[in-house]
Amino acid sequence: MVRPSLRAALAELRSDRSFMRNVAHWEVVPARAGEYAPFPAELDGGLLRVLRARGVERLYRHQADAYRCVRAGGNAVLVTPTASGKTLAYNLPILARFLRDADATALYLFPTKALARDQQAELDAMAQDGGLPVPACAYDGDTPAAARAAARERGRIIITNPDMLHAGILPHHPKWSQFLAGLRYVVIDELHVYRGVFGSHLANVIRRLKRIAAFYGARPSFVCCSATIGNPQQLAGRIIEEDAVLIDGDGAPAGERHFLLYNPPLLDAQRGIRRSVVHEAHAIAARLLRRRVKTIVFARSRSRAELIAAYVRQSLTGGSPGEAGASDRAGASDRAGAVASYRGGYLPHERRRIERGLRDGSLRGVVSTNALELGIDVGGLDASVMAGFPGTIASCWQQAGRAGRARGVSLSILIASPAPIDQFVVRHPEYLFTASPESGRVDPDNVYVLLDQLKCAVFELPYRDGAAETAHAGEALRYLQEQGVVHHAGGAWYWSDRAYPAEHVSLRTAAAEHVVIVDAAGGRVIGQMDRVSAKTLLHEGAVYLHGGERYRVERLDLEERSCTVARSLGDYFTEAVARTDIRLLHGEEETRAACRLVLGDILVRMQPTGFRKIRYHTHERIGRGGIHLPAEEMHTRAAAILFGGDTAAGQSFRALADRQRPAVLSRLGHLIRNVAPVFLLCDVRDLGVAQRVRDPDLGAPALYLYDAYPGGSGLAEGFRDDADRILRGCRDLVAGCACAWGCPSCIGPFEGRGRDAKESMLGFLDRWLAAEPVPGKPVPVEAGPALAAAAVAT
Amino acid sequence: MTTGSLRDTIRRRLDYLRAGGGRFAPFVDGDDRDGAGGGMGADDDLQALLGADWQRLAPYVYRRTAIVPSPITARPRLLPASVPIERCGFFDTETTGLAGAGAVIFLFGIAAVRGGRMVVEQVFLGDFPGETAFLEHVERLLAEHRLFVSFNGKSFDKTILTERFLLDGRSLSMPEHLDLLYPSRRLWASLTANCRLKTLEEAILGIDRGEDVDGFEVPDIYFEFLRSGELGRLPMVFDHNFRDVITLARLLATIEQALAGDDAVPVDPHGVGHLLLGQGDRCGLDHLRRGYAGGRLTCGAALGGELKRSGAWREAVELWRDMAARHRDRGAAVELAKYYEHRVKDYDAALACVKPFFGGVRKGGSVHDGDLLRRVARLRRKQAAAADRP
Repeated sequence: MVRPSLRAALAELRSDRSFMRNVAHWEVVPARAGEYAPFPAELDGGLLRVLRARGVERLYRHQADAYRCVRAGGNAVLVTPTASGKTLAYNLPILARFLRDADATALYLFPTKALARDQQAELDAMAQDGGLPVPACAYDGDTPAAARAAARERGRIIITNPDMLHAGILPHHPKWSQFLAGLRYVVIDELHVYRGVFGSHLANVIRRLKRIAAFYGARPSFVCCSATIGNPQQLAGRIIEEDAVLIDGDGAPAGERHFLLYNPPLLDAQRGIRRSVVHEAHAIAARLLRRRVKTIVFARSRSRAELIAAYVRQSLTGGSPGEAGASDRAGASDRAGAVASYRGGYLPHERRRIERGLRDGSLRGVVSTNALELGIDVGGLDASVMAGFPGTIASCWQQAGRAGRARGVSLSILIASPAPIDQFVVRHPEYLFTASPESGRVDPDNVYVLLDQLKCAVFELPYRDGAAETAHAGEALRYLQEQGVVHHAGGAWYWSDRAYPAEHVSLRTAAAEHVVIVDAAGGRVIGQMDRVSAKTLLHEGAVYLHGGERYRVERLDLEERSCTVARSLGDYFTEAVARTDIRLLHGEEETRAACRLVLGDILVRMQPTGFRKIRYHTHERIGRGGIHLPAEEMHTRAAAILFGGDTAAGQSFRALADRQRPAVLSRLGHLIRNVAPVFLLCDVRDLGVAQRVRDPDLGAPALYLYDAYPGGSGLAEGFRDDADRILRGCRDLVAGCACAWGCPSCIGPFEGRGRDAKESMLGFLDRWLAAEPVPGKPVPVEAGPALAAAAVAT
Repeated sequence: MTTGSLRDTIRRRLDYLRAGGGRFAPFVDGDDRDGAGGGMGADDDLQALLGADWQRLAPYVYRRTAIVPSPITARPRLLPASVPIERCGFFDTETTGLAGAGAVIFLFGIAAVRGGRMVVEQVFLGDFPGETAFLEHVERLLAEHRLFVSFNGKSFDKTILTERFLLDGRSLSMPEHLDLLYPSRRLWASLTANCRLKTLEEAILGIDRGEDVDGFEVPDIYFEFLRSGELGRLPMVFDHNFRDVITLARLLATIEQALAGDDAVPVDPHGVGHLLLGQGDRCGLDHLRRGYAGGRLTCGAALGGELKRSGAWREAVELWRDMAARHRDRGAAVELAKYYEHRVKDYDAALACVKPFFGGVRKGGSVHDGDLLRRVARLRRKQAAAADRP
């Protein structure tokens, strides 16, 4: 099918000089023919009817590969872009097995309830088309009590989420004995979502599932599906703790795709200020929609999605929203009405209406948060506009993939914000278009995760002395015994507390404690924030931004976990100053490519001391205040880069003038924190940095990059593995930035400091990274007296 | 990471936590690392602690028996005639939690009538490793009975027994089950603050237990015993369970008294009527009549329904008229209208019955409003059709 409207729009964009000036990169991904395979010979009757009802006359090659692997009982990781028929790739072999094995059951895990509902609808339709006796039941927090018993007794496929498996199914496994005894397959869809804390917990939940399944005599195989990331097989291996066969190589046909990286024009080149993403996104979307190009816009927050949608409607009607138009405006209003906004928090029927509208063409455009990113079927759109880099390259491809069909051309535009990560990506298209560097990391042996999960596991079944699992968990079991929740007797460990442990263990959030933010006028709750962040963002006197409104914090009560705010008209924002102390508890030194670093356990103590008031636009400091809150302490994992001794890093650091050294370390921290997420598949907020010009533990200047989750979630190890590429990325970001003396898009805002800041940073990085790395073996670093002091002082 | 170094890492992190870091409370007791803990030690110590009342059946498993006068004098009609009273087991369990695979039964009490007396047997699990032997003995006790009487046992005790049996590779056999919670609710829910066993004991049976443990304390008492190796308040739990089992029998006897029409037992007449009719006993109607005469509209409604089912139209119509006229009861008026519409085919009369209830009825109102509006519309149509007919 030819899409003349999009072809025309592309030609128009290409010939528009002012537009093209901002296009940092225009990639054309050529069309690709499909690669097919015939149906497996064993498919018969019902399943053939299912396939034919869907117009499927042959399989894509990757579907056939998946079929063979799963039918043979192996574990598989399918790496599949959007709309490549991945659901069929695992449903087909599983249903085929079910038709030959009346006792077999399967568990499907999706990260969200919405995806679970979609999958159930799909399976129901398949069962109906093929007359297959395979009841599939969604089982989650929305399942009515009456339907739960039926699901447990009759469901051959249970569709749920990890949270429900953890808190609602495993602790009640005797009720599921029949289902678990038949368990042959576990499908983990959207695997790339399970990284960091969530993934560390999931790995433990899977350990528990395997343990319980084994109790009932079952040993399921696993099918994981992941978006394109750097290490799908490794991530799957960490989560299921078994090997899995990688099935990639998308056999689905794809039309020609144009992918534009767009950097909004500089308004102030020296300070690196650019035109806003919201403005650029709505202008580009409106332009495409006028050309009748079906467009989806992705915004980074709910409020931005609403804002862009309103602007787009306004542009399309040529007036302000809601303005009564003359008769010739009727067409324009009609066009404006055909643009919807979509975000989490909408009710299911509203979402369905929008999804239907996009499929049947009554909606021409939609502005969405990442809620539409995961595999919900909205049919083929022509163009996808990303208002800001979505945080990870995997998300970026998921969002881009929302536009595109099997045939015909499609367009994706990534509009960069001034954030360093966005600027990095638009200047380095190779990261996007050649190999995805991002790797999902987990740390299932995070001691906090481990202890929480072990409690749940002991509750489910005692640990017998002598079993392999008990040897692994022995120390932690003893610790739980000391805590009085586990009891050892007669050669086994038993749960011995009245509490139902899974209820108190959340798989997704680091800190269960949240502060609720209340608007003093009207007493409405407008948001929440974790306790640690609250200390630097919600202290009394802080300016808090929410939904485009400015609020001043009147009162923060950490005991009551509440924060009262009031509307503020001040023209300033606030920035907290906190002293972060680090103590190295234990570490191992190793040399990786560009640097010598120490990987270890640290204690982070963050003491907010005061805050500055900074005027908007001019960024001048107009006042200050104190913060009187207790320090926050956390035990976590860190990678510390050493700048001492005879290494390239040390030499380059010593070449700096004394006065420059602290600033260079701090700016490097800013850079690493912003660039590392491109490689570590995490959020900027998941990382903390702290620098010490003289480190008493390590005896050299050091920069610590630490995991913001207590106990660590694998990011420190990830940094160690990718340090070289991350550091080179930092250098490239600074070198390529258009600003004169440093800006928020690279080394941090220019605040009237020495104009040589950017230059000295670049010099430092060049001297350091130009040197060839010297590989070395890990050497344990025992913490000195400082460690003992830290451990006792807590 | 090799298993060894991983274990070292975890040990180091745990030592750090023990030193007081992180989210955990300080660790106090330090030396006992052999796994046995400071808690329950050898099984021999347990026998000494429990005393001679308790007989050791297997490691960690003990039982005691007692004989008390039976509160059951007349044969309770709620028991199916096919089951001899001797085969009825009154049972109750004490557990370490409310739900989930980690909740364990540590005390099982069951009583049965033998002649004019009740034999009560309790089985106690002194520590988790004895569970298999414990369940084996419970299984033997269950096999002696055919019908099981409990309070809230259908949703709680039976569920947890089923799960413990399943986890131990057995299957639970409880052929028939009479859960006294349901008849008790019928009889007394409207008279008491709630329908907990303790409340009923005090308000209806007139028993004051004196010093007793609360159900919610039970798990902690048991865990404290496991940890300290001292009985603590555990004997009170034994007595609590013992009394619960006896109370079950008294409750059944009192329900029987109420159903037999003994005025000494305060009851909700609606409940008595319902239970008797459920047994096929037409005396239930008398209770409903008396209840209605005493001003209980729910008795009137139940009575009307029962009369309608049995085709006693005359009394039913009379009752509904009375309810509609004296109490302005819309349900009764609607029943009357149905009677005139479908049985007498007198649409004028049917409309007249519901007419007084039109005030305040509106479209989009309650379900009953909608019903009434539809009924009236249909009646008007039928009325018009009837008028057209020659």
